[in-house]
Amino acid sequence: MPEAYQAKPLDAGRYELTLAGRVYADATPQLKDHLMALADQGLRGLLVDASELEQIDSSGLNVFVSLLKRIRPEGGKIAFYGLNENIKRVFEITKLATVMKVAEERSSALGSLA
Amino acid sequence: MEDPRTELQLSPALQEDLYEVDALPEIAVLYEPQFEVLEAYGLEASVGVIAVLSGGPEERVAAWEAGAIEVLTPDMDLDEARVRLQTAVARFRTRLELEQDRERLSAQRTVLERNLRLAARLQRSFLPASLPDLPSVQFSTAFLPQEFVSGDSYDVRQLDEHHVLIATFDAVGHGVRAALLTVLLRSNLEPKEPKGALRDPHLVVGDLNQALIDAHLEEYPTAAVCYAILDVRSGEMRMANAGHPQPIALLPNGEKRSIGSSGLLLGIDPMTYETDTIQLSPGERVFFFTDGADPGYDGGFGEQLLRHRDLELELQVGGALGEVIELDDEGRPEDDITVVGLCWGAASPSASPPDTSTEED
Repeated sequence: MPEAYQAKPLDAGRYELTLAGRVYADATPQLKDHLMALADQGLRGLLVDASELEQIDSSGLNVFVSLLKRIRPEGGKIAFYGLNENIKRVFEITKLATVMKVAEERSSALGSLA
Repeated sequence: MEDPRTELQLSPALQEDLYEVDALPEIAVLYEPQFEVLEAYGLEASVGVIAVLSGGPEERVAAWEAGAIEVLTPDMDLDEARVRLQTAVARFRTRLELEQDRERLSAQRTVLERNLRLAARLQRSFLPASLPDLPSVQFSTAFLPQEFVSGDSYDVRQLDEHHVLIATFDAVGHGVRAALLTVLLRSNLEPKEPKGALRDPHLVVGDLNQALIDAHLEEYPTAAVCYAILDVRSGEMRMANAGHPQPIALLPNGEKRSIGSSGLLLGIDPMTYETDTIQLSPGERVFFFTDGADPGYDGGFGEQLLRHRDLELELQVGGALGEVIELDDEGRPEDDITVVGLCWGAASPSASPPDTSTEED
């Protein structure tokens, strides 16, 4: 799995993941396994830096939906920042922006995970 | 140190020049270069031959070129000979096992492909065999799976004398899992009340959402759906949308609009969706499409539909798709693609159903 897809610990159960390029179905099983393993180890907040993300397909989005369903019962949250306009549109159409924070700036996204 | 040929537990010689090595009958030892013997004994190319030669470099080269997996000489140190033999036999066995695995995998792949083709035929059997043939509305569809089976599906059918159902489904991912998810959704599609009254689209979509949540599927798959009911008398269309690209409507004058609102993808949270009501104008065309038709989510598909608006409906859909879809190295689309197009107030006869009927004046 690309190093860019390794979430790095921040503090108190919060991690930051940097996505870059295209996240398509071929990359998602490893990413999902990685994030689910972190959830088992106590991940309760995921900050996603999407500033270098060009495209993401439904499989890629489903990774975060699966994680959210896993951690939300314990108060877990996911927040994205730096989305390009096309991906923002995806979040609007799918209404994923109503269940996951989408912010322009890192500080705002991180704050939503408090 | 014993002669390695003895150590290797030779069976009785088939002839004085031919020895069996180890328990594997395919491996034979030739004392002298009798390579014609290989054919005479019907030994196949997978046979590993260890040649024990007393000749010089030319004979050794001939042995290698003939496919010997090891070449020994009688004057070779026995320890060295033993290690060479053991290594050669191990190497040959590994190669043989790999070849056998490859053949087994090839056979499994053949079976798998056969099953997938059957699954694809079954999936297509769920799709409408024909499109509604009505004077006031014309339909056209495109269904392009990324693999044998698709994570997309669609439905277009008459519910009663005055109403037509239009639905497009897009399950997360591709392949068999996604295709089975569309089956789950289709099987939970309830457009009518038990007594026959048509249900509001938001209720139909809400039920699909709950069905997916209640299925408690591993890895929480989601899906998008756009569901509409068209009144073929008035051109009023009522629709609900869960995470699906908004359909595009085009007027003959080139005006383009996205219609309806969108709700949350299916399978995440219990939701109350909305029913939007859209009044179509004569000649207006509406296109329902899954996100595979607009891979960049940048409205490219809508722009291409506009560019091809002077074509007949079916050609307009094909022409637009031809401009926007991306094909992989094997000529397959990068995502499942489904498009359902309609033309309201069509002056021309409805599109012919696939493989059936002739067009009437």
